[in-house]
Formats: sequence, C-alpha cells, structure tokens
Amino acid sequence: MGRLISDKIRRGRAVSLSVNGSTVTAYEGETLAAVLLAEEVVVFNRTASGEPRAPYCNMGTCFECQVKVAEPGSAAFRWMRACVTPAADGMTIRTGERLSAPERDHHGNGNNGGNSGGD
Amino acid sequence: MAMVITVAIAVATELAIVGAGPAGMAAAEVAAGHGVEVTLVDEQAVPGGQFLRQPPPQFGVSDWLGDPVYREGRRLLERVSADRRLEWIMRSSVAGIFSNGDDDGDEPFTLVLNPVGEGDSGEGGAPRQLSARRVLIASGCFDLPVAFPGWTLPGVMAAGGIQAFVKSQQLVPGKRFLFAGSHPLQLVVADQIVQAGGSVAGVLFAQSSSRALALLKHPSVLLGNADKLSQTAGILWRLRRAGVPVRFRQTVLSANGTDSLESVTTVPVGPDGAIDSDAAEEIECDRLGVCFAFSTSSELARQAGVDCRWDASRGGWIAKHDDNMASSVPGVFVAGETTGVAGSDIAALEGQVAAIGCAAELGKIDARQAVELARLPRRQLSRRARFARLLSELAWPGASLFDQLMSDSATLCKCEGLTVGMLRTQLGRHPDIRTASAAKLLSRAGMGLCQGRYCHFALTRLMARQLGVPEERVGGFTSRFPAKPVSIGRLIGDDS
Repeated sequence: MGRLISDKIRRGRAVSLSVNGSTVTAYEGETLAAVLLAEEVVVFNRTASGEPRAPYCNMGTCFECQVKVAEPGSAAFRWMRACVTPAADGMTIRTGERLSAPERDHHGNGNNGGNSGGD
Repeated sequence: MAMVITVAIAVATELAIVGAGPAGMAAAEVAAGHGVEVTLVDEQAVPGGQFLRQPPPQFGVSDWLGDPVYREGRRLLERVSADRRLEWIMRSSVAGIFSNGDDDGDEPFTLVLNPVGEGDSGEGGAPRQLSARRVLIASGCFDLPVAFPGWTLPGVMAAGGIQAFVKSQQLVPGKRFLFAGSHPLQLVVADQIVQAGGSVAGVLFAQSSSRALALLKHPSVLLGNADKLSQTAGILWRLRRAGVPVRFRQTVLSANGTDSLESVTTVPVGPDGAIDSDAAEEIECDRLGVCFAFSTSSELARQAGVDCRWDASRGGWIAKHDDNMASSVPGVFVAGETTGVAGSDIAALEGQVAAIGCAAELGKIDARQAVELARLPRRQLSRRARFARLLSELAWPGASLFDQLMSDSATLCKCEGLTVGMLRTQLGRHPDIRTASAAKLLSRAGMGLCQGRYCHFALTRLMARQLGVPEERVGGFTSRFPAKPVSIGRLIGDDS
C-alpha cells in the first residue's frame, strides 16, 4: 500500500532482509515501517483477541507498528517498533504475529468483550 | 529484590534539553551562546522534531521541505547541527527526571535515558544516566487520537504520521487517501501527497466553511511562520487543480474493512454541531488521515512533578510556567507544545526565553542582562500567542463532536482491548470511580505499552461527561517512571 518517491531522491545503500520468509531489498536509512508498507504488508501485528494493527503515529508513541525482528546473525525474535527501527542488512522480520494476552481477570472484566468489538 | 538502576554510561551537563524540535534547538543555541554547557536528548536519530522531520542521513533529498514555511526552521536546524558546542544524545527516550533532593549539589537532577531501538523488549545496553543542573522539557506533542468505530484498523493513521512518511522516508503510504478533521495541517499533508503523485479522495473539515476559511487565511501561524497567506492559496489552488474536493461540515463516522481500511463512512455535521447519521455516505480509500488537534506529550513533565492544567483545545494537560518559562519545579523549565500547542515559531521563541532564564540561574548572565535579552522574544511571543490561541479555538471542533463519534463499539483503550461501551458499563456499575487513575485500576485503560497516551483524552472526556464534572476534576493518569516502557530486566541490568 506504499510507493517510494523517486524524483530528486538518492536513498542509502541497498540492503537485503527477510520478511515472512521472502527476501526483500531495502535501503539504508529506511525504517522497517517504510520497508513493510512498500512491500504491501498490511497487518503488522495482531492483538491478543486477533484484531489487526499497523502504524498509526509513525513517531514512536503509539506502539501499534510492532513486528517481530531478529537482528542479523541472531535467531532471537523480539518485538520492535517498526517506525523507529532502521532496516539493516541480514535482519529477519515476521509480521502479523499475535501480541500476548493482557491479564484481564483481576477485576472480573474478562467476560465483557461479548457485547462489543464489531467494526 | 531491590531494584537498582544500572548505570552503563553516566554523563553530566549544565542544561539537559529533552526534545530536539524547534523549542529545544532554539533554546540550545541561545544557551550555548551564553556559555551554558548543553546536552540535547531526542528519540529520533536526527534533530528537527516532527515539524522538521529529517530524512535519514543516508538519503540525499535535493529539495527537502522546499516550502518557505520551513525556511526559518531549516536555518535553525542547520545552525545547531553544525554547532560544535552542543552535545547530542540521539535515539534515546527520557524515562524519568529525578531531583536529587539536594539543591546545593552540583547536579541536582538525574535523567534516566533509555536507548531506542536496541530491542524494545529489553535487548541492548542498560539505560544511561544524565546529570544536569537545569532541565528544559520541550517534549512536543502528537496527533490527538480520536475514538470512532474502526480507528485502530490498518490504514487509519494520524495525519502527522502520514506526513512523516512523506517528509522523512520519502514514501507515499497508500493509494487513495482521505483526510478528516478540523485542523489546517490536513490540507498541507493532502497537498504533499498530491505533489508526490498520490491520489486524494477528499479533505473533510468538521467546521463550517466560514469558520474554516477564517482559519485557512492563517494556517501557517499554527504550523510555522506567520503571515504566509500565499502558502494557503497555493495549497488550495493545487488541490483544486488535482480535483481534490475540500468539504466542510463533514466528518468521519467509521472506518470500515476486515483486515485493512476499505472505506470510510462520512456524515454531515449540522449547524448545531450534531452529526446526521441518516445522511451517511461511503468513500472508498485505503488510507485515512485523522487530523483534528494535537495532544501535548506531558507525561515526562507530570512525572517530574510539574503543575499542569487542562485545556482541551490546546493539547490537554499543559504545563504551567512563569515569564521565564520556569515550571513549578525549581530548576525545571518548559517550552514549546508542552506549554500548549501553538506551532513551531512560538515554540522556538519560548525556547529562547527559557534558555535566557537558565543562563541567568546558572550565573552566566546577571538579572538585568536577562531582562534585556528576553525583551524581544517576549514581545514577539505575546503578539503571536494571542493570535495562535484564537486560531487553535477556530481549529477545535468542540468536544461534543468527539462525544458523538465515541459510540459504544469504538475502541477506547487500544492496548487493552477496551471499548467505549465496556468502560461506560463499568463506570455505571461503580459510581464511586471518579478519577482517571481510579478508572485505570478498574478497567485497565491506560495500562498498555502506549501508557495511556492514546486513551487518556477519550477517557477523560467520557468520565467528565458521565459524572457531570470538568475534565480537571477527572485528572490525568498518574504519570510515573518510566515515562516510556523499559523492561524490568534492563533496569536491573539483567538482559537475559
């Protein structure tokens, strides 16, 4: 759903990263959010109840754009905000993963979800 | 187990400036000019803040922000970027500001810094510590989140976030855009999208055309430099030429789609401010920019103990200050949107005044010099501030519009999966819950990673209305350390 502007622009050096198992070319200086939108990624993560989420603020405040990232040479995936994480050669990214469930049982609120949630 | 904050790197400075936007940069330049040792801290990799959101250093963009509105700001950015006297700590959040409790000490404040992006879940180095004799909080603002059904659907974004993709990343993040709001920024962003070759289905203002046009004559005051009527005329002309409809008394009712935005339902807003759901229309688009107002980033100021007051149209909780921009906490100054959203040139002037105040407190200049130096920026401030306040009232759609958009199925707290209807039910069951902090404990609203930044306005408004009290009485969520998430493992120095 994104298109890179090419007029009067010189991007950084081309780097290669893996997005959901596919090899993707990106440019140094790009944030993962820009890389993923240019690759037509729609759902960055899902909430515990399965709702799709993607960038909202694009300034590091809302935490809606989190994706699972393994640094180059590492197999350990961590949640990172895509909008403040620069693309690096050899990174591995997984999108659409589910965030862990919030503990919602302390106040008996857990069963209130039934009468809502419809978009 | 006692929690010990690990100190990986500790540095000391005379003046710590939190936020390298127009206010922070202007303050840094003036303070350094009077011999103050300055360290700026910012979350982004490069200075400029949101107004001057720079492309990454690896990019070459030949006419970045070529519009004259940005000229002054770009010059300031160029000067401070080349200023060898300044110290920078970039890609770091400030998680907390602590008073060391001994005002006679050399560095009465400690700022706990949290490096950004080395793994938000705790990988990487421990937080750093910055000691300072004075602190200036210039933490800026963010797009006001507005709760309506579908606002968390992929494709719905803050207009400022869309703009940052264009300004900084040189990416047009969508195929067909729609903008809905009440703030003139949405025209600027729509124009930038059109100029970058994107398609814009429309720009919807909730206000009447007369009210919006009064505003459109002077949007640059809200956005940057004053008196740039030609700028607006140029924007409106380009949008018209591109066939982009600009409509008034129209707003968003819901964002629709399964896994991403497919269409937006829009409704007319009557002269009495009431939306007319029976006259709803549907507009197809894959990107909606929401652009009503801005919310101050007040968490750090409130965590530091700075007195704030509620002013919805100026950003929610805004920091109180004196003529020198000193806050209620001795040694802590505030400038820019933190003191009420008013745009970048007012932010820069406030930064200058704050820097003069700091320089005087640090003994770099005497009181008489300080008064003399502050005379010009203060005069410019009082002239522009009055005007900016009028304009922010014109840009404010009125809280009752938000009340109507906040229907029961709308998500209230996106992090905890709480809807407006769920909170209303819980509050109805617990009439003793009368403050935002109590509602947080009851409902978990505000307990997620954004730490209440995206629900506090809606929650405060909903409670004020339900209880029939002013927002001030509902109060803010108590703002505690850390002001941005830090993993416990990282704090105690255990990264495993």
